[in-house]
Amino acid sequence: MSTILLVEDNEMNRDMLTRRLQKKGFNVLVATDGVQGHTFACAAIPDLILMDISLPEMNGWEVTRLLKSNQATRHIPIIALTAHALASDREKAFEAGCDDYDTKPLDFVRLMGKIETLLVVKKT
Amino acid sequence: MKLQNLSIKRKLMLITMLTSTVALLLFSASFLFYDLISFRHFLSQDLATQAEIIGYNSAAAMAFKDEAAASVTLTALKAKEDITAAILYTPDGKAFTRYVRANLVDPSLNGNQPRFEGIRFRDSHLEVVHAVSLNGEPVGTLFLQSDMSQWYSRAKRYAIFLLVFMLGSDLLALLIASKLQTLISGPILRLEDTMHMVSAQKNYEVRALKFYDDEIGRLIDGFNTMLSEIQQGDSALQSANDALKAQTLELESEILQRKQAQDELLSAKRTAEDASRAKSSFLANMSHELRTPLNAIIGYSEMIEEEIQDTGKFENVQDVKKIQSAGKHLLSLINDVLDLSKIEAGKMGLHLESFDVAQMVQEMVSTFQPTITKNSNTLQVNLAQDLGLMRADVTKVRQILFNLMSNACKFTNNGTVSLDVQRTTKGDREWLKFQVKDTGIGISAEQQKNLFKEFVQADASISRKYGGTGLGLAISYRFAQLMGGHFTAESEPGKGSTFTVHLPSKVSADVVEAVKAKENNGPLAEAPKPATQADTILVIDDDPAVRDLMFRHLVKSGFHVVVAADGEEGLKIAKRIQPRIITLDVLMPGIDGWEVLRRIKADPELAETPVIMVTIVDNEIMGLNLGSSNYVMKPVDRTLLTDLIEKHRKARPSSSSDVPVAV
Amino acid sequence: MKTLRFIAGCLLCVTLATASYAQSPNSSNSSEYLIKAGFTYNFAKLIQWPANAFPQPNSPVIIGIIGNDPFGGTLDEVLAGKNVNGRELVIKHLKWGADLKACNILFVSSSEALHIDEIFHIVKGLPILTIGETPNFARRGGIINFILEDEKVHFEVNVEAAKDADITISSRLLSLARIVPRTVADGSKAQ
Repeated sequence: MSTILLVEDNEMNRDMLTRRLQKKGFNVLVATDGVQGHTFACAAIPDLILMDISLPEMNGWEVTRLLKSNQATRHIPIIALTAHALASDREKAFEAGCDDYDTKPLDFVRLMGKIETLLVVKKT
Repeated sequence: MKLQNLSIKRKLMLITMLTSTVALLLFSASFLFYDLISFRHFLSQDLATQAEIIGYNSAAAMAFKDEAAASVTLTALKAKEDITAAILYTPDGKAFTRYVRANLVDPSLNGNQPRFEGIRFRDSHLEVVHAVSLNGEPVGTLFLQSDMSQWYSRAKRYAIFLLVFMLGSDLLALLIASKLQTLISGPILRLEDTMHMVSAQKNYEVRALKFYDDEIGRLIDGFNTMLSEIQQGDSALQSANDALKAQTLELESEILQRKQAQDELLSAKRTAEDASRAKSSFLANMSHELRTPLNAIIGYSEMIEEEIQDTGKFENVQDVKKIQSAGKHLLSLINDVLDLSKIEAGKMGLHLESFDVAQMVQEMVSTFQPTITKNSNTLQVNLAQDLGLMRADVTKVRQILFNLMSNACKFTNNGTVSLDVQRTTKGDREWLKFQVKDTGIGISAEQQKNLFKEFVQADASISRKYGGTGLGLAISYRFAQLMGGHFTAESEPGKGSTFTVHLPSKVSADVVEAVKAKENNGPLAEAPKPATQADTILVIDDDPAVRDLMFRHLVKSGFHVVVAADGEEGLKIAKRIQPRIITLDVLMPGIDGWEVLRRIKADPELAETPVIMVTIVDNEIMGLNLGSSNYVMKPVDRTLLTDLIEKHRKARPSSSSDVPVAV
Repeated sequence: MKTLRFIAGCLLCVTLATASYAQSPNSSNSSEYLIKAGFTYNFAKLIQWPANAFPQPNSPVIIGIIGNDPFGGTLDEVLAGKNVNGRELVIKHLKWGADLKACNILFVSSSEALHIDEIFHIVKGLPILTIGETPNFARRGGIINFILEDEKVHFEVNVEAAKDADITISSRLLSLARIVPRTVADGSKAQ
């Protein structure tokens, strides 16, 4: 059973995603802000991280950069979740080190596709 | 002290003195000289004469060798004080008898007859040797010597006299000069005083007194003229200065006003900027705020649906699905509204990137599939081989395509929806042409008018029947415009519709234009970019007032405008300058607008030029049928006209099958 | 024979010389007559004859010597080539019986001392300058008379006689001369 760390400050989004992911069979860890997200990631070494970008304490890019520059956590695939759909955001995501990104409003099916792709890649 | 710096008075007197002294000196000297010379001559003549007389008188005595008698004759010379010696010599040269002035001892007198004849001067003595003869017979020689004392005394006397005379004259000259020099120095000194006064008191009203009408008088005149000129200049300067002061004050107050205005403008600007920023952040926030709860609604309803599926309570599924659907509709409405707001606020920016056209289309195709199958339609995608790369805002391009495709699918049942993408060249630019055709219900002419307007779907019932927000086309149209593209639609009710979007293959940031709100030009609306040099508009109108108005309007909007007063002239000019756009008045003397239009369209060189009919005659259909690109009613709405022109300017005139699109 | 000739010659010369010497009574005073000759010439220069004394303008001044010629050739010598007012001077040796009136200057030699009155009588009123060398010549009516004093030659002038002869004597000459008045034979002054 894979573990997904979800870093999302919005309660409803968090709730929805957690429950849907759990239904899909994932073990879901939750962090509510950037710093917490970073801490949890280092501690738990999840299989995948869903990173909301607009976070309190520390924004998603920052957390991603930190994690990607840390030997222990760089292998963890990170999907950035952003409300903006601008190309610049996409570039920013990849620049920060994200492996993929998805836009809100989330299409759960689409998201699942991205998650699965990354986990498969990781496994191989 | 230097001579040159003496006062005029001294100089003049010095000059006078010098002149008179020199003159006197010269005169005296020459006079003296002349006199003494002639006196000497006289003396010698005199002595010679005396010698003659004495000779004559003593001739007989000499002839008779009567020494006594001869001596007597000589002794008479005692009376003449200047005669120092008189010696009579016999013919053989021996001294016969002599007279020597008392107390005189001159050894040179002893001896024989001197060896000269005539007159000579020796040792400041005048000597004469005279041959004595009696009736032509030489009887001896007379030697007469004078001591020139007369001459010396005369010389002395004269010299002294002349000296005294000179001194006296000099003195007199001095006196006269000192009196007369005032003739010259007086006026000069007065002038000097006046000048001094003028410069000290800066009083330019003073005038120097003129005394005489000589050079100095003229100098004074000149000086006075200069003064009056200075005075004039000074007063002119004064008044200019005053005027300047007044002007400065005015300017200062004006500057103050301007500054105030500027400050006001700045604060207005800041306010506007703040407002703009507020708007942006509002939009951004609203975007986020609005979407978030909706996401929750949609998301949870999806989850509930899944759970219901699991539990098998299918009768609730429909309700939940309705919630979902409403939520999704609301979301898309919100998205569209926010997009439009952004566009309207001028906040819609372009984010350009290069992408492979074919690839993009292929990726999108999959997203259409649900909508296609929903209405049992068939999808045809025709991509040209040479599509290559496009540089544009890919998101917007996708949005446009998605909009067109979903519209096509929505309004077609059991039909075909085809997507054609081609690369074309118009003028010097390359374009991507996206064409979406459907065999759906079509759009009536009436509806076509309002196609790209917001919030107006073809029919209120349609939104109920077909869904959608009614904003999609408006947004797509605006997006196309933003990127410098061009949107056209063709349709036949019942047969189907064709929507064509032309987009530049390389969207340049310069071409970004904010779409102006037609209803109101807010302070934040951006002005249209001025036309390039090549973009000339030809205005053909017989009414000079209209011509002028059009000219000024269009020039203000940044176009290059040429006017023509009648059809013939207009045609000639059009042929010559090949304008970008022609505005054409219908009612004109000579050949009327219709005829001009016919001729324009008949001329291959001009056929492609967009023609906008500007007229009071409401005959739009005729115009359109004849091929005018647009039909605008007088009085001309400036913004309308400019919009039209902008539209045509940007869109390269394609084939004349271009369906004129009413705005 | 030659010596004889020579001696004869010498003798001849001596004789001639002596003869010539013997001819003049005053041969030891040849300088005196040189002076007198000179004086005579000077006299001629210093007097004026009246217009009728000369027939023509260029007539010569004739100097007549009556009696023994005391001058010898001296007068000739002195007067040679000279002229008086353009007139030549011609010397005539006059013998008794000759025309005494035909001269301008008459020199009465001392040899004619006894005939002086006769001479004066002949030439009375005529413009002839009478010159003598005997005492009282001038007082007796002669115009000029040579005086020898202290071996110096002086001369006397009788002004009245000159006036009678219508001869003007220059004051210059007069100033050098001793003026003598005419006296009659008894020696009293003439009025």
